[in-house]
Amino acid sequence: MSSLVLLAQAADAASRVGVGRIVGGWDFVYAAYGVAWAGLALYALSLWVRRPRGDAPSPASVAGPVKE
Amino acid sequence: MGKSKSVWVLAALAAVLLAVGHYLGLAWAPPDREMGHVQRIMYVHVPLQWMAMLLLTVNFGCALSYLFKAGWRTDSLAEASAEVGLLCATLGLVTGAIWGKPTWGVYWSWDPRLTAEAIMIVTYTGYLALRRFVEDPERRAVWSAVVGIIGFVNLPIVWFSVRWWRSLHQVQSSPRTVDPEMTLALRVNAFGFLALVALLVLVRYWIALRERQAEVALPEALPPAGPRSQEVA
Repeated sequence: MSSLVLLAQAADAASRVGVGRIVGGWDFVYAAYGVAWAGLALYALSLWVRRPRGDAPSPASVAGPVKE
Repeated sequence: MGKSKSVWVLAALAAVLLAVGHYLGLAWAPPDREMGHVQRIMYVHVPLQWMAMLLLTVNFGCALSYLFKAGWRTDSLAEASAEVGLLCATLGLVTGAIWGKPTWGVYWSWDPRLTAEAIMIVTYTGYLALRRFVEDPERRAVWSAVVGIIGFVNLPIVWFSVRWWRSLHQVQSSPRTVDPEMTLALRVNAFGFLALVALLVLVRYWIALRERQAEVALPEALPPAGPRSQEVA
């Protein structure tokens, strides 16, 4: 009896799982690509604003902290 | 190879691969059997997540390396990889949420994968905030290295969460489970994003290195502490 109840519950759960194929959805595709590229472009712009100017750092000044 | 040449090579590589990859993903690859065209979001969402995992692993390597052998180059690469990695993780999360709406019916769910990803983003936001708040470069480098190592603990949880807790987010696909045309589109986009993040990390690394140089040079620019300065004090 209990196994029949479990079987009925499983069948009920399976019937609630969606079937078929999502139709359309291009708006979501464009939105995702748009957000990704807008984010990357803004970050690239921030790097351009922060870009180093002047001479390259000397090897000694970027070697690392001096331990005393 | 010179700096500007490296930049142009990486930029050209990224542009070509991403142009081809986006064409393959948006026009050439077939729609998914169930998700339809919405599945095309995967060609940008999945590579962004892969790049986030890769860059945050680089950050972990740099953090570990810095604690064994301190160097401004290692610290600068740690900062650059964390910043670009956080950008990729955030964009990956947002594109995933956009995909979730038509597929799951909701933008957000407290699914183990999404929750672990959100924790990862908060952790690395904290990592970058810490770097802004600590002025002493040596102390900043050590503290952020420790946070980078602690933050890395969450990365395997993010990756394996879909296998450990079989919930809403599906498990990783493999070339055996998807159409070969989808695999090709995904791979071309992944290599394109790899070239792009390499470029962004490289430029951010140069900026960080220049900042370290300025910070280290600052004490030398100050007047030496001698008898006169003691008199003034």
